[in-house]
Amino acid sequence: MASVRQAEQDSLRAPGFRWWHGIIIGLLLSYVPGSLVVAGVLLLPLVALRFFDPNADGQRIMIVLFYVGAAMVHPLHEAWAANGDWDTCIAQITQPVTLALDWLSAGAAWLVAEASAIGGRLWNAEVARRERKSIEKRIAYLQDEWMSSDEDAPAT
Amino acid sequence: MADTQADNSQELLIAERYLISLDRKQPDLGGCETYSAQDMTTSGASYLALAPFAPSARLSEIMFFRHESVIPIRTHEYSQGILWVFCPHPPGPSLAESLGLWTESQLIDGVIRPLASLLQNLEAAKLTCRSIRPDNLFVGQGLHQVVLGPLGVSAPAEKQPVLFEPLSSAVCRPSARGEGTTDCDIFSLGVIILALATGKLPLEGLSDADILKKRFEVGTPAAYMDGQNVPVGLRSLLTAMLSDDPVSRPSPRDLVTIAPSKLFTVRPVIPARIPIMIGGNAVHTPQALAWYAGRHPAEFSALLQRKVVSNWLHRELELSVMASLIEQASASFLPAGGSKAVDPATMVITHAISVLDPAAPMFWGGLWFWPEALPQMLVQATTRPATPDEERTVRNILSFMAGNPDAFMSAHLPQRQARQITTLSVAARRMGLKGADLVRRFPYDMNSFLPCLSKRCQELRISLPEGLLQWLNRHVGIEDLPDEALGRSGFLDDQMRSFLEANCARQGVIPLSQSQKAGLPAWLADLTLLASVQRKFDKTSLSFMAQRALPLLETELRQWRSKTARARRRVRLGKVAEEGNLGTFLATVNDPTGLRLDQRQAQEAEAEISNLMRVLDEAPERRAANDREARNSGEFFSLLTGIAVAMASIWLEFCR
Repeated sequence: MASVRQAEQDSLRAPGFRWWHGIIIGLLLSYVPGSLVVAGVLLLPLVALRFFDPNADGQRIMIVLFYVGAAMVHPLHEAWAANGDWDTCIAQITQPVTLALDWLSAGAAWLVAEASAIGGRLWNAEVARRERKSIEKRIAYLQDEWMSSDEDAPAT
Repeated sequence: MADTQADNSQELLIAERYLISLDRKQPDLGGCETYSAQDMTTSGASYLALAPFAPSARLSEIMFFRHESVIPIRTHEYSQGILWVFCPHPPGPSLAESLGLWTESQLIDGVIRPLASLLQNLEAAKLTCRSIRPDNLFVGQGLHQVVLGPLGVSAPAEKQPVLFEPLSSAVCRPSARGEGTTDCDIFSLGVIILALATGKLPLEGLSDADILKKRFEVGTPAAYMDGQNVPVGLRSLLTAMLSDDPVSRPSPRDLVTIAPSKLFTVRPVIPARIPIMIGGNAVHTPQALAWYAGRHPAEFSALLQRKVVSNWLHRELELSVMASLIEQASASFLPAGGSKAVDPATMVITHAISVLDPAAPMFWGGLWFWPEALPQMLVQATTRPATPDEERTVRNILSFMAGNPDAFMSAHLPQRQARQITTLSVAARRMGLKGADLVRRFPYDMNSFLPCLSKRCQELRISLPEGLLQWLNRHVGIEDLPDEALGRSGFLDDQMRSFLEANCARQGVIPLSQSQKAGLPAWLADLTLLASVQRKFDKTSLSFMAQRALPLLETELRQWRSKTARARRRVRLGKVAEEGNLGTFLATVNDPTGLRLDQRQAQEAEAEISNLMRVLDEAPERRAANDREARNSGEFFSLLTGIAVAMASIWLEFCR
């Protein structure tokens, strides 16, 4: 299974396919066509992400892959358990719960990535603000201590 | 004295022992104000308390002098820096009240021998008396024995009438007479003997100028004794004692061993047959010519230039040596190249006068004086000037003489004058000052008993620095010393400064006038001087003065850049001002180490501020980097959770 995912991922990441990619996909199609269909259908959100978010880099794809992978575990297990039986595979990919779970996991991955980036940015901004405040306080203190004259000195 | 009177009415207790009754004034003794006093420890012991204003500079030596014919100075005490001298009561009334008529043997036993022995002892101690006059001589009731009033409590010869002074000091003003010599005392003694023998003062009723004129005309012995009923046995003695030539007067040793009708030989003065006319006066002797030369200098210099004087000396008096000396003197009327500062005409007259009468005092700048008396002349001109510009004249003379002793040395003055000028110039060099400062310091340096001559406290006779400090501390309020005067001229006036500096110099403290030249404000220089005086002489608190200086010194704190340091020092200043130690008071502000540290810290603070400013300016650039980093860390976090979710899913699928 792992090799299948690797191949799929390679084909998605690199625009130019190598000749041995075709050989591997051809071999897989001829041996386990059902499992490959399940994996291909379930990896569609990645393709969609690639299309809709051109900024998504390898890192982002990798994150989404882990989430989608989590959703793919059960259908692929089923397909494996049915020995790549075509009907069972079709039944797996036509189950709406599985499909929804798959797309939701991709969305969740994207959401978690964006949210944590925003959270980190907010955290950093807060830290910078505090730092700036303390620097300004220090400058004000130093100026008051060393640069002021005593015109407002209290009368003794 | 207002203070002491206010403190305890009319009584003043000194040294916890002597009680002076200021309301019981006694007749002046020795030329000083006198009050009656009591010794509290031995009941009934009564004394006289003398208040000397400017006593003799050698009072400290004179105090230890004892002789049965002089009233001893029992002790001296300072009260608030004011000198008081205690001595026993005189044995009886003074001769000024009634002279009486004394016989020759009474005079020899009761006047000549005791006073001659006194003079002999004084001469051995290198002192002079200069106070033999009727109001200073006392006679016990029913006795014929005179006792002299206390010595040294007034300036030498200052209270002597012209009648009792030899010509060498009678021509001077009272303050210009100087210490004199024992010969001067012999002359005064001669006048007293004459007055006692005849029962009245000679030349009674004449003014001082007339007395001098008469004495110069016919010579002092003739002027005093002609027409008087002088006992025959005393005539020779008196002629010798009253001689105008000091060398002809007998010495104290001759008088101690005197027998009745002893004969003395005096070289006769031969007057010129044809007088020389000067200022409408006919002059017969060189001494008289010298005196008239001082009164009519213009005419005298004309006579000198026309060689009338030298011809007259040569032909009429047959004094060829003196004539040639005078001719040499007048030769220097020619313009002199080297000495621009010296007025040649005046110097020529000074020189000519010293040639004519070697015993005469110095004539310079229109005044007759002995150089050693210049400080005392300055004191007198400062406190009681006879003419408005007297003080300026004396100042100029003193300043010139102390600065240019060579100008006088080259004039071949008589030895006594030259020695005195050398002493003055040595003292001036030791003081190391110049101009007005030097002249003002002179009297204080020459006489340690001189009170501060400042107009503000002159009446009080404060002659110790600690006394002046305490007085200043009491008189430093706004009504005595307005703010603008304080800011402009400081706490002290010039006389006070000179007084304190002279006292510091006497203790080996380097005079502090340099600090003033270093550009300090006057009040700060004064405070520095006062602080060093306080450290040296007086440990008592000067809190009023410190508190008066507090606002001024607080402005000096501006040079500290740290605000907290300023505040801390201000608090400390206030505390120290209450304690009144001027040294620590000033040290709070004048702290070079602290100031240097403060400046270094200020520079560090400036550097830190600019550093922090730069950090603030760089903030936007740093924010972009931060955003990138936030995105990376967010993605890393999501990746981790993704792995965790995937592993959880596999575990659910296979292991449940």
